[in-house]
Amino acid sequence: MPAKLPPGESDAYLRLAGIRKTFPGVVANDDVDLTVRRGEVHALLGENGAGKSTLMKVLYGLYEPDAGTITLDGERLDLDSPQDAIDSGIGMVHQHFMLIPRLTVAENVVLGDRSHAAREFTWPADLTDSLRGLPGAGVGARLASPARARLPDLGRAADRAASLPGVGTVLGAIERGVVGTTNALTLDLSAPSERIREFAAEYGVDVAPDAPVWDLDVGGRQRVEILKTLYRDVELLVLDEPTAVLAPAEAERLFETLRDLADSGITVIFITHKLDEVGAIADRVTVLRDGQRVDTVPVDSVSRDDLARMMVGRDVLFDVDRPPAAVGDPVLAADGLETTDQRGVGVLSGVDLSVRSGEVLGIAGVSGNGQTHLAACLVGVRDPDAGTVTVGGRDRTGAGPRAFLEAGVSYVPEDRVAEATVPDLSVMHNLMLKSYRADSDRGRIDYGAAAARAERLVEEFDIRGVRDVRETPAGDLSGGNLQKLVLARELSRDPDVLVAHQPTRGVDVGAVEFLRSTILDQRASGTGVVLLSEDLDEVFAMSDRIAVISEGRFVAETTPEEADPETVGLWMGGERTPGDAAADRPGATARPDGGGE
Amino acid sequence: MAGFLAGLLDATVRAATPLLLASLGEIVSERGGVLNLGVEGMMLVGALCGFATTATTGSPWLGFAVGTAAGAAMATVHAVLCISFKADQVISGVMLTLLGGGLTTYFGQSWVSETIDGFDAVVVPVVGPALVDLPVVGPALFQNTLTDYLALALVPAASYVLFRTNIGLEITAVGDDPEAADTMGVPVFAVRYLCVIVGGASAGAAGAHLSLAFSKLWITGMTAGRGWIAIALVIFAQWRPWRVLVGASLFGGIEAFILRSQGLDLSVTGVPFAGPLDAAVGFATNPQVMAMYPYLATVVVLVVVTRNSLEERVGAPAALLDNYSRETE
Repeated sequence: MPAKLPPGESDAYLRLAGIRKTFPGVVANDDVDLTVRRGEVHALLGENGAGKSTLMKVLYGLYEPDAGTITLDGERLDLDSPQDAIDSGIGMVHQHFMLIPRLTVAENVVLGDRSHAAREFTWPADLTDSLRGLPGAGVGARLASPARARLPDLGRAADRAASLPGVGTVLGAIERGVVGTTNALTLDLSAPSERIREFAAEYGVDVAPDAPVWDLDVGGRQRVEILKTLYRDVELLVLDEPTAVLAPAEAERLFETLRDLADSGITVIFITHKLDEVGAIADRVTVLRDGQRVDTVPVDSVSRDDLARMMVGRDVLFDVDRPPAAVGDPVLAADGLETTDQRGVGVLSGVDLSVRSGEVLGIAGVSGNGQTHLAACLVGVRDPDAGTVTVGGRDRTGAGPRAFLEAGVSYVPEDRVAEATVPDLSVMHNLMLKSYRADSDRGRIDYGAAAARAERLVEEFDIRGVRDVRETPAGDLSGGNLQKLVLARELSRDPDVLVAHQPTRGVDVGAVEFLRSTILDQRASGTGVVLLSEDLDEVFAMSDRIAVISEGRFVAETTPEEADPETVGLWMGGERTPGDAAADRPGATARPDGGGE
Repeated sequence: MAGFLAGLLDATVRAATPLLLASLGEIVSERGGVLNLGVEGMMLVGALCGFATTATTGSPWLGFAVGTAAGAAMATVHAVLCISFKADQVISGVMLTLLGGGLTTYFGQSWVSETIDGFDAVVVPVVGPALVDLPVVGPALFQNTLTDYLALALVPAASYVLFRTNIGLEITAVGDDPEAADTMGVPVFAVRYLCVIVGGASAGAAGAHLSLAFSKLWITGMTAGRGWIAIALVIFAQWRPWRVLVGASLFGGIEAFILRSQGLDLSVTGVPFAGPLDAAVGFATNPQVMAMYPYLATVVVLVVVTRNSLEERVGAPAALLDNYSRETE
């Protein structure tokens, strides 16, 4: 085994050796070795489905490996549960938030750790006195200062008694029981809240300890996740794709926190599939592909292209080819769209747009500025409070999703698991969700033809991980492949309009390239595309025109040739430039003719 | 009228206690993420076991303890099926209700004509003797059986444990997101077992109270749907102990009114539209119709709550009915 490792691994702090983990039909980790040095930021890079999360869940005691060993700081670890990992100083920030929204920050932080409860707890004095008068008073007195499992520190009377064979064990068990029950039935959040404030000051993870978690935004929730690990004296911190849910500014803030943590001696393992993040944060990087370790290298010794090749196994094109648009008639138009959320607060306030066949309208914006409502209105899933949506020249406002669908509108929603697919249904069923009515014969579905069609689409769109289109549930696919499935379903209808919301978020580079070029192919065949994204590289690479959305309305309109990403980024943050007339006017439009003049 | 009201209030307290006990237990179980639809069956088994024990030994406390333990034992079956074997919680619960009904009908036959002393109503010490003579509310508040007071005392106790303790946090966590709880080192399965068994014990205690204090008789099927009302009451109370006290009093009041209104003349005469009004009052106070009120009230609460549930703190435990297992891929 050591022969496979790069030189200079004798200073290993954490060593995973020969980790193998299989699920029915899948080898998730195939004899993976990983060596991490103390105090470094170690990136674990790989495409979705490469086995990164599985490896880290093994390290955190969530999965039991089929084979392999874990050594931390020279000691062999045998992890049966996350509690064992926590006791060993391992903390993990999971890909999905592991928070209880109805509890407060402090309650989430102390959850599962009862030791804080007794710190401030004392029995009432009269109870203590009466206990002193009882036989075996030593035990009673001991209970007056409960602390978890400090067994050698028994009171004098208990000491004498404990010297008798067996009695010590019994007394110890009783004390553990009483202290354990006391800890279970108490809760003191003042000391933990104080520690949370200290961490906030030290690492810039400021969150109010008594704020309920449901009230926090994603950045705040992430800070709570990090607080949870710090509170448990983490020495090795694992973060599983922590930036997947964060806006760019929040991600930058997270990186600063991670650097502070690494400077204070905490070892960080950072799982990602984003090449830029590896360069931004990591000292060394281990690349996984198809459940196997490709290599471990210092970050400054490799280029971005090298990493991409190691990760995908072939050369990756970062810039998709975008030939000039051959635009035709308007296919989708919106006029004066207004919506409110469930609290009655305005979300969209007067959005106008028009998309012609054969062009991509990119809508750039930090997520949460009305994009979700806009996309839903454009495809008929949500009815606007005011304004109209016109598809192919006909007003379809309020006609419902099915009318939009039949009018040739396709939709790639933001959330591919909750909105775009039915995870428990098979790949075939998911692929036929929008076409089964048209394909059925007076209500009868030809499953043979549906399966054949599904197999053809799986082939054509390179959807991997499908063993049998009729059997494999869509939920078993990795993020990138699930997104390919959604795109396959939406594009196989040869739509006139495609509304795509964050189509490549959380998807690995190989799939990003495929998804973007597929959308551009569709544009070439005459589809009008609305692309909503907060990834400026994507907006600039794909769009013929760019509209910038901020607080529910368009604040600027430009083209990739006219503007640069920095300026658009400022507009996205709500900043306006005096020279840009469109930006100064509320309800600026994104019409090809320049708006309502 | 004062006599009628005093009797009604007294009967309300007595009718509320079994609902209170069973609902508090169901709150604990559901907050841990496990729906227990076996409450009715567990109450019946608790009632029969408690009655038989008391009839044999003469001790109502021993009977109460045995009835509680019998409910806990049935809940253990539910816990094993749902938590360890990942069985469907609804099916397991309904099965236990049917099982409890069948078993108690069969084994209860020989106890039907037996009588016991059971729990007698006692006057609250110290303040009781002075206050029990208060008009209307006196007996209802200050002269009840010890199990009535036990149920009342469990309301603040349950509220404290659920909202002010570590174990309460852990119960909320395993009921809302068992995976998150697991990653925080909470023993998910142990906590859920505890919740289900505590819930069953409470249902057993509710049944034992029925046969030992409420009627002091064993009657086949004597719970008469109270287990189902208790489950509806949990929803009515939005999984909160103090609201269960309100709901149990309300539902208990309805039950007491059904029993006591039968001799009452509620006919309307001498006002405009007396005919249709009389028919409406007659319909609304029909015992069979009134027996539906708890369920109607639950539906109304559900509608009101879902219309106003912007705040995530209210509402059902998020992972209710989810049987957690760690390694699913």
